[in-house]
Amino acid sequence: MADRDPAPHLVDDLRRRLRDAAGPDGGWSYYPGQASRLEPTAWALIALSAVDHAFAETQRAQLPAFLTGPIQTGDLLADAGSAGPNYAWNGLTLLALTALQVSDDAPVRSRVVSALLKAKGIQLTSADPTVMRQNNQLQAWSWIAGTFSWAEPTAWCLLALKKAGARSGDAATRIADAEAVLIDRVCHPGGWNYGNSAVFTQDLRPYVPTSALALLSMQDRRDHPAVASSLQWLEANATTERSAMALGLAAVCLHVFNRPVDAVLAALAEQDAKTKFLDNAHLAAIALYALTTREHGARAFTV
Amino acid sequence: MSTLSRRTFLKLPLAAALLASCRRQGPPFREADFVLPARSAMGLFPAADYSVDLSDVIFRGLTVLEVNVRGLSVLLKPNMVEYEAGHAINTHPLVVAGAADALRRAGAREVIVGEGPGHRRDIEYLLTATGLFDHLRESRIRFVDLNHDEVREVPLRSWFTGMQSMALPTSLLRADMIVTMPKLKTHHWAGMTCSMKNLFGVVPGAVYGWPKNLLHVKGIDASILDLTATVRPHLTIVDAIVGMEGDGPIMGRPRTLGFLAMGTDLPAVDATCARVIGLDPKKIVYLDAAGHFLGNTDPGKIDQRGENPTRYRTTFDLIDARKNMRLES
Repeated sequence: MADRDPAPHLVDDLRRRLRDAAGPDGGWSYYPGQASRLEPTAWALIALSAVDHAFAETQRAQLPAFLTGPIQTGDLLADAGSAGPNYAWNGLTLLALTALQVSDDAPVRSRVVSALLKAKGIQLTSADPTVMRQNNQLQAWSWIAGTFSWAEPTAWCLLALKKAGARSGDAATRIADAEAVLIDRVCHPGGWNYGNSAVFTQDLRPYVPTSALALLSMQDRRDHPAVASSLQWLEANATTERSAMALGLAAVCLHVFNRPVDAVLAALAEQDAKTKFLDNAHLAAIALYALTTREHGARAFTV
Repeated sequence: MSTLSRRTFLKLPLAAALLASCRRQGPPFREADFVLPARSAMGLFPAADYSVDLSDVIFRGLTVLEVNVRGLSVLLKPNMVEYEAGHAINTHPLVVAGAADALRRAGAREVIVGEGPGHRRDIEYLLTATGLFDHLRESRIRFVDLNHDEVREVPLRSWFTGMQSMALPTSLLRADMIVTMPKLKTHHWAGMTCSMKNLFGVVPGAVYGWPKNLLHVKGIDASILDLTATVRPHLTIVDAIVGMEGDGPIMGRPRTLGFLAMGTDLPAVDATCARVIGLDPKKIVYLDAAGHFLGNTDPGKIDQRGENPTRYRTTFDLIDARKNMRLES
């Protein structure tokens, strides 16, 4: 299938919507009128810097105050109103800092890398195989401190560390552990859901966005059978979940794995009326980044 | 009025287990904050299927139960977990749309719908796949994504989990009236999910993650109690037109029941629904404990409006691990 660019007016519209959604502190909230949060801010930085080099340079020269302000929760960043840091959003923020080419020794970047290497999910007693088919001793990243390791935070932190080039010493161990968790949690047909592949002997369904994200974090392990079967599953199901998040992440992932993305991008463009109704900056950023994948090559997500 | 001494509470075997975990002196809540009503009214209202005028059924329920919503800002909290065609996982969008219409007719100033799914974080997909998106747009109902809403740390009003506070969505905290709108389902961990368990969906995923694992780590039953005690929904409208039996809340089978259950006392409604599907409220840990401070679960203290529950009495299939929760005949 020939490559086609999505409607340029839609890209322009998304870019404008995202720029207009920036808060006074230089960050982005999920929804208008709210306080800036890490996830939409990181996604907006990744998406806008990919399509606007001047924007990237400006941000690199002066990161949003929201990211460089005092850190009150150890070395990780935390959203306002949260009792503690969310490891997934710190992984994503590290990915954004890497995309902006923020220097390795910039304080915020080095602190986040160091703290993510120390953060890990708790171990639970071994699961009864008739209740859950998984190894509860494995530890990667949980969403927050004191909880179990799940697919999405593990994938964000794994991808961020790989992309940041943290591969020696502790990083090598954490990367190996995280890959083991994702391989352990892969669903029967391939792909991942939130992180349980089977409960009470019932196989649970994989989700498109989590599968795309986990695959991106395992892109350098594409010879592994779990990765191969998951990629096959994603290719077959990439347009079955209609949303900016599912279609956008699927498009980025398939592009990184050199698979056709036309049908996914067409569905994503078609979905925009609904995405727009929700008025969520995080989703607009994913859509913008995915729709311009051919322009920037999805470098922010390529290891 | 009924309050609970520590001694009394510890006589309750299931609740005592919860108490032991929180290591506090006395019951894990301020007794003065919770006054059990002398009697609680709730109603089962027939609705054979989703083609019935559900707005009319719910409006009648509001009238019969004397629920005054005039001038209030109302947040409807349906149960939206996953989507699988042909399964009965979620509160049906027609029940949500019907409730919104009925509440507007009854004089509510504003009706919004809010949900924060616990497994799927992709709200756009769930709204689209379930069909709720089209109803919201058509009826001009604002939707609040509770997983990604702004949050505020609030003190908990009970401490079964051992936690003192939790971040909750500001849209939830601002609403004058919160209506929990569950789907009546078996639940492979808790036994049954209904009005109270539905409140897991108000916990913001963007703070706590997916699944909302903190609630599992702290104990599902304890979390249900703390959330219900803190959020204190004013009304429940249970979608029991088609429920789910077996391996609920996601992988079970649809089971037609043919009614909506409504009431302002959540434990009273949940206990009645449990009995209808053949579960013993005293064997459902959170419901047993809730009956001592959050609401009435004793059928002798529940005034039934609408249909007699015996009309719908049946036995839902359960997974083996939960068969010990069956109501003994």
